[in-house]
Amino acid sequence: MDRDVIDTPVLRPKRRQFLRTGRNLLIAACCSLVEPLRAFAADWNKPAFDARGWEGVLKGLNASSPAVSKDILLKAPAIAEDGADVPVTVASRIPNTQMIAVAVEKNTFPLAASFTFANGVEPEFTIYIKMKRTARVRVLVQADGKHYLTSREVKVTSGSCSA
Amino acid sequence: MSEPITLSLQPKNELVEIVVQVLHPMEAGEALHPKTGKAVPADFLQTIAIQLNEKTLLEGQTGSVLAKNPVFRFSFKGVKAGDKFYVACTDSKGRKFEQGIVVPVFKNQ
Repeated sequence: MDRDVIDTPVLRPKRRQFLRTGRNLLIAACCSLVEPLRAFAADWNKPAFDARGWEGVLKGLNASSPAVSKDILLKAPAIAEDGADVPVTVASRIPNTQMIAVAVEKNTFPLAASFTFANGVEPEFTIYIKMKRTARVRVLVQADGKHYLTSREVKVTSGSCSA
Repeated sequence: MSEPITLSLQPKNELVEIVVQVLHPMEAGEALHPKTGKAVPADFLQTIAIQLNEKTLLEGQTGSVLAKNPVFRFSFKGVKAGDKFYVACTDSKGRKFEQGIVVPVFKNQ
């Protein structure tokens, strides 16, 4: 029997209709999955994360001339044996801290992460980062529209080549 | 595939600490594959958001500098037993991962 003849639209209109409806339902389902995702997360700050130097990171985060502050606690090992997994703990004691960003000075792409906190949420966290070599870890805090900075050198004995 | 996010909670003084671990390669797109010599394409987490009872507590953006299989620790106050945490991540390939956990009754509290 010749399959092509049997499956032509003229001979099997119901089957064509069924396939078309199915396809359209599938497209609609995919679109509805993508939409809430966009609404939930803010746009990823590509200029800041793609910057290859600290100055570029500052520019990407719209932070000009941050002031050095003693009210940012930055805990990181003085010597990190494994550059692929360096723990960094940050807490801001600056009132109305809205945003905290962590960057590693000598990595190809310095910016590691930035966090935006809702009102009243404790501005503190621990993350684990890759470090290519001995470098300063810098923390930038935004509070009431102003920017503050602290940093600490971490010696790396065995660097992560993919940082 | 099961969700690659694991969540755990523990009391920390008057706060509750949430530990988020995401199984993810965190490839920067700079490394070469040791066998083929070809560039390994970029594949890393870009956003993380944490909600408590459907209210957003924090939103983060991340780069490939985060360690492979990254771990995040955050502490929140005013968290009660029965509250619901919800964590969602997206990566540079447009995938979305999510996980939820209900706050248990902690002992010695």
